[in-house]
Amino acid sequence: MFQKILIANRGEIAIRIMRACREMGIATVAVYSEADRDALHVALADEAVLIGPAPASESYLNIERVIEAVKRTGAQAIHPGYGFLSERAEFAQAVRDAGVTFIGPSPDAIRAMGSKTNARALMQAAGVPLVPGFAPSSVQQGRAGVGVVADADFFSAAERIGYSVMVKAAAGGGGKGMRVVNRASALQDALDSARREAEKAFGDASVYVEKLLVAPHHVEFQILADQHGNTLHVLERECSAQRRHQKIIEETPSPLMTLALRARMGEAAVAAARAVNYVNAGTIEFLVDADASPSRNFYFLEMNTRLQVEHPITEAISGLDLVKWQIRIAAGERLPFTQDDIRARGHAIECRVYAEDPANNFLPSIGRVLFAEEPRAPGVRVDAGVSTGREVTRFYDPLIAKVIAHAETRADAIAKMDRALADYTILGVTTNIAFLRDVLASDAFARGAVTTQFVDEAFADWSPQLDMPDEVLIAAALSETTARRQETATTDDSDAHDPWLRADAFRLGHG
Amino acid sequence: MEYRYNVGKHIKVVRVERDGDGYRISIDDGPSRDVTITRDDEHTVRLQIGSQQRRVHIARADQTRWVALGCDVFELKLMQRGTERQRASSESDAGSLQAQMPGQVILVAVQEGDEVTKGQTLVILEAMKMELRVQAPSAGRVKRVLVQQGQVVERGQQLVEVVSSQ
Repeated sequence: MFQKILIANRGEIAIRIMRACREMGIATVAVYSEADRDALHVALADEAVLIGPAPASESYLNIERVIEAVKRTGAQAIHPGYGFLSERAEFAQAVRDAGVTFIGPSPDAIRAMGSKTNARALMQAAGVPLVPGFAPSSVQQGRAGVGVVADADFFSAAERIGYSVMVKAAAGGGGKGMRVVNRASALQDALDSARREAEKAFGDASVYVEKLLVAPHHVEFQILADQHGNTLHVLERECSAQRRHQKIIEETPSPLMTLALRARMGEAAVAAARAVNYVNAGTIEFLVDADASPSRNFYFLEMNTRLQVEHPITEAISGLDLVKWQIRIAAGERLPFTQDDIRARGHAIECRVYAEDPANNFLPSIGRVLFAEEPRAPGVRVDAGVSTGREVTRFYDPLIAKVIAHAETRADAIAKMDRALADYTILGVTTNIAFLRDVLASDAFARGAVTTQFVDEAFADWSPQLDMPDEVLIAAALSETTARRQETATTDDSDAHDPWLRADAFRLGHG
Repeated sequence: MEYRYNVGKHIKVVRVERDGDGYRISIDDGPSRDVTITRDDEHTVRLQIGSQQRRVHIARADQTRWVALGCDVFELKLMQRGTERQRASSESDAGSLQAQMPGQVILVAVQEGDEVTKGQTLVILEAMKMELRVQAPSAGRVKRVLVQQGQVVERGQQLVEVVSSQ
């Protein structure tokens, strides 16, 4: 087993990985940018190495600096977390070349799944169902998008599949190079603009066409695979509650799951992972038809070759610590359980707390967290990247915390989550907590009928409750009274009974 | 003492008077109430209003007050003398474009004197990997450019002034 692990990430996920290391008796190394000198993940690590300026491209995405840090500290393995360098094959390769273990899949597996057209071809060969589409390889398309395959081929493919279709970037991700096309007359424009955007974002103009599914569910399967050929799935996660393609609430089991569907999808997920000789933890994402027929169709969407943000709900219902298993698998250990040993216990939900303002078009909110109080209750877990006094900066992702609730039934889990969110107080930066509670309280969520389009449609005009209770104004005004008198520094005895004035920690202007 | 708060589109006036161990407080022209306050820690107080006790968390940064009561968090702005007039004048000046989020100016696409069309991108802001395009609300001429590329701006900061040609 490793004695020291470097975590090439920041925020809540770096802290969560460190917790697993600590419990396993493994020392931790954090890396940080100049903007993160006072960040929580730096404070909690055994060692911390400054790797560059605030912009991620010069620090958390800088492969050379991370490799330097691992060499300098003598860590034997690197955990990439999610985002940043986690799905960059050249990073996994550089880690290997430095004689250090990458806690994740091989560079080849990352590369194979990184190209969406390549992944489609592999999945087709493995018998995994795909969204009907046309996905010629990058080689066939040529670098500039004018290779062996002509645009006429895309047109005939789109006719065959039937409109509406999606044009997507082969090297895609993050919604870049994605276009919805409702009729043939709009296809040429979509191809051209998607190629331009893809070329700019990924340096690869290749695109492919897929049928647009109407209001599908997003259901993904957690994969665990060791280096000895054991590959199994740790059940599914329903991630249909999304806002502009960004997941906000996830749960497991999926409300639409049946034993028969789980068996079919689980088998496909394992086959998909095996097709790229996948090792470590990964996730196979599927789209599932909204119609509730017994023969419900599902389609491979993509594989995330890393730990997912929403992994804690799987940990809650399976009882497995996925990060510890990632580390053990990377160290060469064998999975001591089989598919039949994996059982779901109860129901788990995760809500993502973002530093954003739902009342201001969900734009980012930054600043110092002046006060943070996390909910505490049986079955409630909070993975937070911030605490009182920490800064939320403009440089990184707005995800600041995840709240996970685990209970016996789905209804209990929803009620527990609602209470946990109500008890989560964050002052100083605006969050989406009130918005999350309203989505959770919706009739569609209660029925388990949320599709990927639901939140954008049903909550388009959401605004927070506007009535301000008098107590709020009273508390604010009394804080002014105290602050003003502290400012003038009176020693008047008549103030001696004032409880605010007696306490000495009240700092003006800083809270 | 009298304090004015900006709450959404409204202004609330709170009057506070010391009264023995507590305070007499009224809001706008409502009745005054007796309030006593107990401070539990730096950010936590209990208000006793009549027979009711409420626990409240509060934090302050510049003019912003954050108050958590029950399940909800409220944000209010303390108005300083004169801000009412400032606010009124900035609202009448519809051609002045403000940053809707804090962030960095990654592109200034226009110069003073440029003619612009409705919807034309004037400035691009970036924060947390998100780009926000600031567009011309109507056709017109750029009167002033108040930021430069690379500059970090606060939410609400003036970016560009456009004189409408309509």
